[in-house]
Amino acid sequence: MKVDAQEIRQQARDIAARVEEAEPEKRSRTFFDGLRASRIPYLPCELQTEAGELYVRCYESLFTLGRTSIPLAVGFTMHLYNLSALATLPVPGVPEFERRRQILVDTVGKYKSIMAISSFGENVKHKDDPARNVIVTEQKGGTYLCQGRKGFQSIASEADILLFNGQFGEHQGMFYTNIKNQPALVLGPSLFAGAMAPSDTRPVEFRDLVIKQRNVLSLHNDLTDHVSFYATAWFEALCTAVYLGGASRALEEVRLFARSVHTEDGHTLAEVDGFMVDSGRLALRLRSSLAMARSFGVCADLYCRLIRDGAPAEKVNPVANDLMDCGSCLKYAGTAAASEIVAGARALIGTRSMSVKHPMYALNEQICFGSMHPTLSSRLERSFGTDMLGEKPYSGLFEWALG
Amino acid sequence: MAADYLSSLISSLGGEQEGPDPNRLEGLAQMLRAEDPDVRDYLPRMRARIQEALRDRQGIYEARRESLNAEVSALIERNLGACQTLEQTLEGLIQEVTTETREVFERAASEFLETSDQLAGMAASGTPLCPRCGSQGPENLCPACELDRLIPDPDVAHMEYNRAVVGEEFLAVYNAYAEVVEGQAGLEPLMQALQSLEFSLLEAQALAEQAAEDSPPHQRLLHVINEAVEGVNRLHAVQENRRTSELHQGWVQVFNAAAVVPQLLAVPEEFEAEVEVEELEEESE
Repeated sequence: MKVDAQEIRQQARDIAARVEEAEPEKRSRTFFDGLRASRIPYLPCELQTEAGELYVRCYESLFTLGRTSIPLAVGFTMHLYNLSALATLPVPGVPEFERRRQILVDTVGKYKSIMAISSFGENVKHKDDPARNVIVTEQKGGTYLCQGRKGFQSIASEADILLFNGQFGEHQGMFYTNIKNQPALVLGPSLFAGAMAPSDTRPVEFRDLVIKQRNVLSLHNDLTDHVSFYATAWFEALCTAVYLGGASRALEEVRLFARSVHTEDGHTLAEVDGFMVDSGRLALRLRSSLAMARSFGVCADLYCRLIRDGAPAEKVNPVANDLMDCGSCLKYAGTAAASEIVAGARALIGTRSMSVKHPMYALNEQICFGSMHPTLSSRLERSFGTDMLGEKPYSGLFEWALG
Repeated sequence: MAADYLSSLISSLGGEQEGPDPNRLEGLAQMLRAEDPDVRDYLPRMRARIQEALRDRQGIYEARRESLNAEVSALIERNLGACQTLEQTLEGLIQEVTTETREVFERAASEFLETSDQLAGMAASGTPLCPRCGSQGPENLCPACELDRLIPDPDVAHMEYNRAVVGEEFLAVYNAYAEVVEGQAGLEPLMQALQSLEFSLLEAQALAEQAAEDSPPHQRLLHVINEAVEGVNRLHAVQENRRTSELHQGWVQVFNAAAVVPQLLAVPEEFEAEVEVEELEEESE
């Protein structure tokens, strides 16, 4: 099944334009109302067997939305990556998961719901503090009691459904619940002030939340990891689009500046060779990252097809590893490029980019969040270093793509 | 809007008949004009009916007048004013039939019937109205009340109440449904409650499908669940079709399954909401 790329592109542009025009306090409402009325959040429901096509459409939409608002688009990425992962990843060996993920995906599309994700506990803590996460215990009659806290919860006030993991005995489980009008889920204050505040990121307390059997997606590490790793790869690839969207916006601000400011001899800055070269370097950084972007969709398509076809593990596993690496590489290079581009744009525009009303002002603050999303760059560097320095000869080639 | 008001109105109007019908205002007016001596037998009865209708409508109107929009309010007040004049002139006509009183009666009857038709027309026009203030407009949401505009169901008067003990998710749907019908809330809370119920129903459906192959009780259960899912779909479709009648019919279908589905889901008693809800059921059933 194919979707009309032009229609999706136009929907993203329309939403971005409306958000741009809206008063600051109405931007979030305008953004989510526009999204819910569009097909964009529900593309995963339509393209369940077309991971590559789905990725491309999501990536482009997030890039366009990121040009207007990084925090809103990052918040929306939480919905899109989870739903994309759930919609496209079949797990034929676990029929219960298959059934529940299908019900979840179908009803999200039907009810035009927005999903939030709480996958992380509080990883950053004092060494003497106990790890804080959600603990899930089974009760009589097949219900589950959820207690604890999650540190980061984006689009906390907007989402209808919360997907979360929690400690179930010795395993990490995966669960979902309705979040609206849910008294057992208590949202804390917004964690980010300033330019990232619209991401609506808050801690969430689970105060004796009782969920039913049908809310359980996984109770075992193997399944939870299998789904989570795949979902994380989607997140890394998609969130990059948002930050590159922000970088693209910064370049547009450079263009507007360069064509409106004149040198003493009457030329515009856009005609000054040095300015042109500096700008071109930034544009190349952006285009290089965007040129890499498509690789994830191709790999995801291949991976899902192999699983659907029941391919043997020795064929699936290398592609699974490369898919994870693809997501990581895109995020590592893309978010770093976005930061460099925004810093370069700031340098070219100069002091007027520090004016509170200038679009660059918020971008300066927002762009650094890209590399802070999981998986952290330092962690990736260590992991890739370990692999490269291992016993086996190292080539770095993605064999499914280029080999 | 004033659904009760409209149902009271509709129930008080009889069907078309041949010749002057003394049980209808027009028939009574014709008999008065023809100076038919039998008319005196019918005047007290009509007065009693008008008094009762006036009391009912005034009560319903007073309870909701603050929330009604100006246009609907003005129409109802015209209708009540005509009703009041009718009551007074009927009293006069019982004492003595004069040309002047008869003419006042005819004008009031005409005003009453015209405004009644307009009110009934609003209910039957197929135009979505705000369930609270009665406003109509191009937006799905009434800007003043922030409630979903819905097409009224003129047949709501022909429904009756039933009772059953239901699970918490069914109860949540009922509460949200009742709030929509009463003009207390929009469709969004109903959709949230429906989604939770649908999660459970689809889970139950899958389990029942697995067991139903060689088990007649499970086949029966599957049928009930499918009916409930269809009811959920009808309720869900109200977002698009805006029909209150679909809201009622959808709930009836969901309610019929409510007592059976929790058995399969094996919801433990401590989480079962032991509450009674009322079901709107068609009289014909």
